[in-house]
Amino acid sequence: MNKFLALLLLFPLVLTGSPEDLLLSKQNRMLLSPLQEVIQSSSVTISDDQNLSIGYGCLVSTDGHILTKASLIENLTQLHVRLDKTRYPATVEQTSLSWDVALLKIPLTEGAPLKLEPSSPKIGEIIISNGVTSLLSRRLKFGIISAHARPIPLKEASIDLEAYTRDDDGKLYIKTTKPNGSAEQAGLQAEDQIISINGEAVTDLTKSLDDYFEGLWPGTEVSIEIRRSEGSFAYSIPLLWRQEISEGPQDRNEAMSGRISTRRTGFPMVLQHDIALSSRTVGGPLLNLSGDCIGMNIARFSRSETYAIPAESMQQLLQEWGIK
Amino acid sequence: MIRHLATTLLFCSLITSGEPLTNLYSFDDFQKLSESLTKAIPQAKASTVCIELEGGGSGSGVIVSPEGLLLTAAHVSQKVGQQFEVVLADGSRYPAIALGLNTSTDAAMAKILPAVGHPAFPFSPLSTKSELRQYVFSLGHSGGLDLERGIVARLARILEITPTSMKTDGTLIGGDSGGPLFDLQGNLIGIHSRVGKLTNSNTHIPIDNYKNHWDDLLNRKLWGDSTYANAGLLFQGMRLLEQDDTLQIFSVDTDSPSDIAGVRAGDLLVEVQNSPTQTLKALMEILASQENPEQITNEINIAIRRLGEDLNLTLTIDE
Repeated sequence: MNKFLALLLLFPLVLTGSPEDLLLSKQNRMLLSPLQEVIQSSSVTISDDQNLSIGYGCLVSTDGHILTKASLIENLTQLHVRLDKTRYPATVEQTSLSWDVALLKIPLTEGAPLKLEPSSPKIGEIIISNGVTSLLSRRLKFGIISAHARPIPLKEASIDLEAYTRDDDGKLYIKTTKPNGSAEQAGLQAEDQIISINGEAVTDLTKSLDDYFEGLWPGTEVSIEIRRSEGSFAYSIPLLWRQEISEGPQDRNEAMSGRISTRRTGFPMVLQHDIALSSRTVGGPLLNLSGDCIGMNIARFSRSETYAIPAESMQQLLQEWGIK
Repeated sequence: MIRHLATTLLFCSLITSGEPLTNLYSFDDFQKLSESLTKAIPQAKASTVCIELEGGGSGSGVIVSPEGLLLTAAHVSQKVGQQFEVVLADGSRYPAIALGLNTSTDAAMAKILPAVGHPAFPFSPLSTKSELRQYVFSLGHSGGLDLERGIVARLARILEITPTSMKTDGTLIGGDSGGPLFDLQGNLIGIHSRVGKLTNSNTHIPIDNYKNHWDDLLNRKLWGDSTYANAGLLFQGMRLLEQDDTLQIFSVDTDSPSDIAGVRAGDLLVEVQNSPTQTLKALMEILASQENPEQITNEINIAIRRLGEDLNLTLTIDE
C-alpha cells in the first residue's frame, strides 16, 4: 500500500496520462482491419539473437525479398524474421550505407509483396504503420504526413574530445581527450587551441564541433590544426560514429524524445510523418488508406518526427539490386 | 484492394457544419478525415510563424488578424515589450514586439511590426469550441526553423480539458511552444504550452484564455503568479525541469546572471561548482553545501551541454 502511495506522489504525470492513446482506440483499430491484413501478410518482424523483436521489414517480392533498416541488423550473428505466424531464417543479400537499407532473403515461394506506390503524398494525408507486435498480431498506428519530402543531411560523425571556449580570449580549446581514444593517439592534447578543422577556420563559436563534420562519414580522416606553446601542428584523425563516443540525450529535445533511432540522419530522401514509433519499431512499411506502400520507416528522429524512405526510392534500390 | 464508398451523409454534415469531429464510424471516415486535413493545413500553415529570439531561442506563434496580431505562449515571448523576429511559412521575416502576457496560464499576445502599407497578413479565425476526443491538428516549428522541411503538422485528439489547459496526444517538442492547435475547419482552438514525459501528454492553452482577456493582452498587461506553470526550479535566472536524469533549462530570464553568462533555453545544466547536477535534488544539495559563509563567493562555475558539447560558464552574482 505504502509503495503505491509513493508512486502516486512521485509520478503524477504518468497517472494522469491516458492509459491508451485515443488515436489507437479499439474502434479505430477495428475499422482499419483491412490494412492490418496487409501489415500482417506483407511485412515481417526481425528478431535478435535472443529472439527479441528489434524491428520490422517490408516484403517486396513473392519469392521472399525483404527490405529493412540496415543498421538494425548489423551486429546480429543469426537473423530470423517472422512473416505472419511463421518464422524463417534470413540472409543479407545487399546493403546500402547511404540509405541505411538492407536487402534480406527468406525461403518463400508464394508471398504477398507490398504494392509500392511511388506518387508523393500530401501533407495531412492519413498514413498507417505497425506499432508494437504481440507474438501473433501486429498493432496498427495511424498518423499524417507532417512535412515536405526532402534529403536529410548526414550528421553522424564526431571525434572523441571535448572542447570549450576560453573566457579571456574567446577562442576554442581542447578541454579533454578520451584516454587512449583516437584524438589522443593522434597527438592532440588538452589546452591545445583549435585553429581549423578540415581547412575551415574555427571562428563561428555558435557552431558545435560536430557541425564541421556534417556530410562526412565516420571513418573519414579529417585534419585538425592546433596551436600550443611549441608552435602550430596539424593532425589527421579518423571520425567516429556519434554513438560510439557518448550515449544518452545530447540536448533537451533529445531528452524528451524517448527511444530515438541511433542512425537518424544522412538519407538521400525521406517522407516525414507523426506516428510515434521507437527505435525498435522502424523498418516496416508506411501505407496509405488504399493499403499501398508509400514508404519504409527508416528512423525515429525525435518525439514529434519519424522518417520514411519514399516508395520511389525503394523501387530504385530494388532495380539497382536486380529485383524487379 | 479497399474500395472508397461515397461519403456518409452523417460525416459530411459534421464536417461542413463545423461541429467537432469526435469519432470515426466507418473506414470511409478515415478518408474524409484525411481530406479535411489536407484541405485545412495549407491555410493554417500560412498563418503560423516561427519566433526567433535574440540569443538563439526559438518558438512558434500564429497570426490572428490581418494587421499581424500574434498569439503565442508567455514562456516564448518572455516579457512585455520583448522584441523578436518572426518568420512566415514563405521565409519572409518581420520584426515583432511582445504585448501582454499571463504567466499563470502561459497565454501571450504579440504584434508584427510591418512596413507602412504592407498588405494584409494571412490569419486564422478563433474558436472556443472544443470537445473531449475531438480530432484536431497541431502545427509548429519543431526543433526550430527549417524552411526546407517547413512547418510540422501532427494529428491529435483531445484527451483532457480544464478551463486553463487542454491535453492532446499530438506530440510536441522544443520549438513548438506558442504554436497553434486547430480544429478540422482550420479554426484556432489552442496554443502549445508544455509537454509531459509521455508522448500523449502535450498541453495547450485553450483560446478562452485569450478571448476573455483580449484587452489586457492588447494593452500590454503582465499578470499571473510569475512562475510559469510547472516550471520547476528557478536558479540564477534559469528555469529548470528534471527529466530522464538531466536538468533541462526551459527558459532563461533576460538580464539574469545566467543570461549574461551565456546560458540559453534548451541547454542542459550538467555541473555546478564542479559537481554533477543530474537531478534537482543533486542541485539543491550542492547549493546547500555552499551556504557555509566562508565559502560564499560571488562567482558560480557551471557547465552546460549544448548540442552535445559541454561549455564551462561563470555566473557572476551581484551583491
